[in-house]
Amino acid sequence: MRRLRVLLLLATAGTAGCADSVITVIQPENDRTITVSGDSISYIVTDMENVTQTDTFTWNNPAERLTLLHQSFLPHGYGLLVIFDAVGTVVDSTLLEYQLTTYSRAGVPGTWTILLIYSSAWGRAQFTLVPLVGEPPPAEARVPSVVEMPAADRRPTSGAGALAAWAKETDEKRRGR
Amino acid sequence: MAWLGVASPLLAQGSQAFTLPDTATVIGLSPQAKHLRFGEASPTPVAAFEAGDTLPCPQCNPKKHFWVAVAEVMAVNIIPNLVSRSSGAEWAKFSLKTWGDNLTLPWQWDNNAFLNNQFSHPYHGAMYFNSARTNGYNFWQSAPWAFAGSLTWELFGEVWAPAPNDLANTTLGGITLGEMLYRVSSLTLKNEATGFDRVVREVTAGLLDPVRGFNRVVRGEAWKVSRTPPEWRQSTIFGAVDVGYRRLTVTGEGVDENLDGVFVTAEVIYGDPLLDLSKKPFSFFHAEVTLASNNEPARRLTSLEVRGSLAARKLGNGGLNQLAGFMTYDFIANPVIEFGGQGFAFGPVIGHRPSNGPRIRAEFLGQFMPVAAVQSDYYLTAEGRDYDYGIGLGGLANVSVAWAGLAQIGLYGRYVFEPIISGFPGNHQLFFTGATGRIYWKGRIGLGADFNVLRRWSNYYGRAEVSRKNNELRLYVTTSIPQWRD
Repeated sequence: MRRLRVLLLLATAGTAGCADSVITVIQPENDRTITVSGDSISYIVTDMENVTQTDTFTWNNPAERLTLLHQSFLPHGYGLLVIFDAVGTVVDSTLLEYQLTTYSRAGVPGTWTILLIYSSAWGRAQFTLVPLVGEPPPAEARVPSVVEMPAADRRPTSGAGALAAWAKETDEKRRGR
Repeated sequence: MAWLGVASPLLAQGSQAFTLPDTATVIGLSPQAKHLRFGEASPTPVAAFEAGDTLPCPQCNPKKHFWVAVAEVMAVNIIPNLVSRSSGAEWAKFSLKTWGDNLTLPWQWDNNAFLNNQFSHPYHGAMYFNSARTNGYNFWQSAPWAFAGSLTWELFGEVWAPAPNDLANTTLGGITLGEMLYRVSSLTLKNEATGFDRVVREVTAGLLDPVRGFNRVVRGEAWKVSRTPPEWRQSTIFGAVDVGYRRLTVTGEGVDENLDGVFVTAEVIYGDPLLDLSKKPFSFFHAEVTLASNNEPARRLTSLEVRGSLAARKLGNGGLNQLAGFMTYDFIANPVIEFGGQGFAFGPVIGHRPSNGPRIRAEFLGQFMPVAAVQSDYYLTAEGRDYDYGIGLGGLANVSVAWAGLAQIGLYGRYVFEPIISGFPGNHQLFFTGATGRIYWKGRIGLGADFNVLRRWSNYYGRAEVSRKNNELRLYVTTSIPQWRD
């Protein structure tokens, strides 16, 4: 009888997971906020629960590169950030990370487009983009090796294969526009 | 390479007697145990401790402390959590809601750096394992504790989604590293010792196995004089340190460079690689760690390889030939091959030890690693992960010939196939081949040379295939412990 109770408890816990399978999009209560401060721009969306959608905005970058200050916390699911320069070339493609600083490749200054792709994301997406004049600091040499891969070889990082295909398709559409 | 070390000249002495130097006391052998005879059945350990026979031996049959072990597994989880939480880490701030999320939402492969996932997690697992091992449980009874400790960390110790790679790395790596560290720390302990000698031994054991050190202090075992359990000693123990020059030649598409540097390798061969295979798990193990100067700073730990025996069955009538099973731990990080895996190896081990002439040992093992990590050319994350995860399948062959006290030569080959589960879709193939030779003179001092070839073929869906080759030349001075004498 005791064993049966344990099994029932486990079964209940297991089926409870199905209740969370409802896919959502960003809601007003997620407080999506974009703040421009001088040349920098900050983005935040809070308390996401199983969000699967894309989000996009533009930003005027006076420099050829940017510094990306990651402050996201997405314990479950993924958030992918793709950055296009003024002529639509991808200069960065990275997961939204927790407390990390990365740098983009060089691009054409002007109106840059920021594309976010969420896949079953839970938590907070938050980052700041800061114009970067010149080369990234040498101490961060390992990170640029990620973003300096030839565009043809670059891929969206982790996440489902469908997510990767989606990002590629989006990229191609944008280039063809 | 690690697989060759099991046939050092010292271990090829067969039935010749050798005398351990004073350093033997450092590794925990009593003076009575200094004259050992290799190649025969292991000396009765009890006989080696006649001097201590009158002392009680409370640790010979240790009592199981279930709740202490549970508390220690929890402590091993809670301490790093609290440290991280105090520094403001969001991922450490668990709650009932995050526990519920981790229990109900899908698991995810994580993107931690190679060193973190392939070394730090297994070391953490070793602490779970030793929470049980040092509370009266044997090897098999302790193994599930590594799994349970890792599972509770993944579900309840952090907010991040549970990661299947972490569970596998921590559990399997934790068992292998845990038992190895437990046994090495046993060698340093000597319950009959007193004074400064005792302090040095207890501190060393505590550094090697912190959970054990804690338990010994709490129970007063760290200073109580009693008999050292015979199980804490092994009939044969061999240690070696190699120091020398290393040249890596890296070739591949658009790559052709030489990297020169120095390296230090420390090696421990615990037990007889033939006679002890069928005894309790890890009655024989081989552990080897290499630090090198010509890797990028994060990879100064160039390799750590451990292989411990699980069980063996004799092949045919008599003789030394056996069908043996092992647990394996691999951590290899060099500019060409970043490879990590924890798993099992199984196959025939063949030995020939004539009374005169060279001794031969060969093994042909199949290998299975539930999760293996191989350097990726396309899967690169800002967080630092630059490798693919998959199942590791393969095998290894190792043949060595040794002339007692004079020289040893060896050849080995190893193949690993990894279909990728997490990372960039495709598969990796690794091929390791190598030759080694050592000549000893003046007992414990010798010269050695190794030549290894490491190849990696990586096939990716929709991307260019990548081939890399790495030749490695090592020239070194080697010193063995204990000293070998004719």
